[in-house]
Amino acid sequence: MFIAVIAFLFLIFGVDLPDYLLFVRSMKITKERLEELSRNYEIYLKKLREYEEALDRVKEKEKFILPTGISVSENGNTLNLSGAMLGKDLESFIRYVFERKDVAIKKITIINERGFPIYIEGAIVPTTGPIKFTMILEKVR
Amino acid sequence: MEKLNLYTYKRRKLKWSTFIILMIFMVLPGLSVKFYLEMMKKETLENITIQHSKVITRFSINLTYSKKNNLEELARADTTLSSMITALTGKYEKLMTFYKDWVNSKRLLHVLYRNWSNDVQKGWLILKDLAYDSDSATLSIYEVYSTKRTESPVDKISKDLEQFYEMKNEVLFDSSILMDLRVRKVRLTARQQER
Repeated sequence: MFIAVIAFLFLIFGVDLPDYLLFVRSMKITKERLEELSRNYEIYLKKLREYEEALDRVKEKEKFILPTGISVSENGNTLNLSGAMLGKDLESFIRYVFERKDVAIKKITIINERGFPIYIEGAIVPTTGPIKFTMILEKVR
Repeated sequence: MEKLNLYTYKRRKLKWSTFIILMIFMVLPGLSVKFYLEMMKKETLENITIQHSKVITRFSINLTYSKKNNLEELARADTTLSSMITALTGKYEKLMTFYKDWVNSKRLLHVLYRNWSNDVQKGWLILKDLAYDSDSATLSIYEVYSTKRTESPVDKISKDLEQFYEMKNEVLFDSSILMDLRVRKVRLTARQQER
């Protein structure tokens, strides 16, 4: 009987209880770290939702179409355009880019070499000719 | 008739079956407590897993009774989350740069479109050249304008751009063409205001 009591006490206080206490302590630390991870993950998800909403706001359903006859090179999200167009065409293309939410103009250079007003028999008319341009556009993705 | 052993130096003998039963009784309470504590451990682990199932599933965290293993798993999940945050920050910054460029270009073009005029009486404009980037813009414009008007379209463009840019206007030439009508070439230099 005495040996049974000693064995019982040894198993409980010598092995099981310390093991359980160590487990409880370890789980407390694990739980704290998990709570911290959950909090950070929730913040991440909130920021991700904000980002996706912001991205949706600047996306267009219709595909961006470039005019024909101009030189285009694409580097990731950046489009390098160059060429020459008549004033009206260039104006409508710039207006088209201006109205799109998914394209930002990073750089434009326009050189209208023949563009100046001339006075002919009481009327002022602009000279016409192709207008040279280069453009760097950035598309959102 | 009862069988008596009256030998003085007799030794008590334990039968194997008795010994085994005693052994079971000795170990059983300890084992039952151990079993109970193991069940408690399992339940605690399950509770934690249910409570944080979202992150545990997302980061494939394998929780065990071992503290070392759990901390290693959580450190791995932390690293993964950090790289996800870094990637998102990069994407967000790209979007902000895009948005800034978008707003800047829209401002300039909006002002130009709003004030552009092909009417001689209001002021007739011909764009000679334009150089725009996200920080600055330089425009040279021919303008046919009437001296009767106090504010020509070029003046209006410059005034509107002043809200966003530091403006510098240069009149490159200005000459009379007919009665009150004059032609001039103006260079507008716009530089992004530092905020």
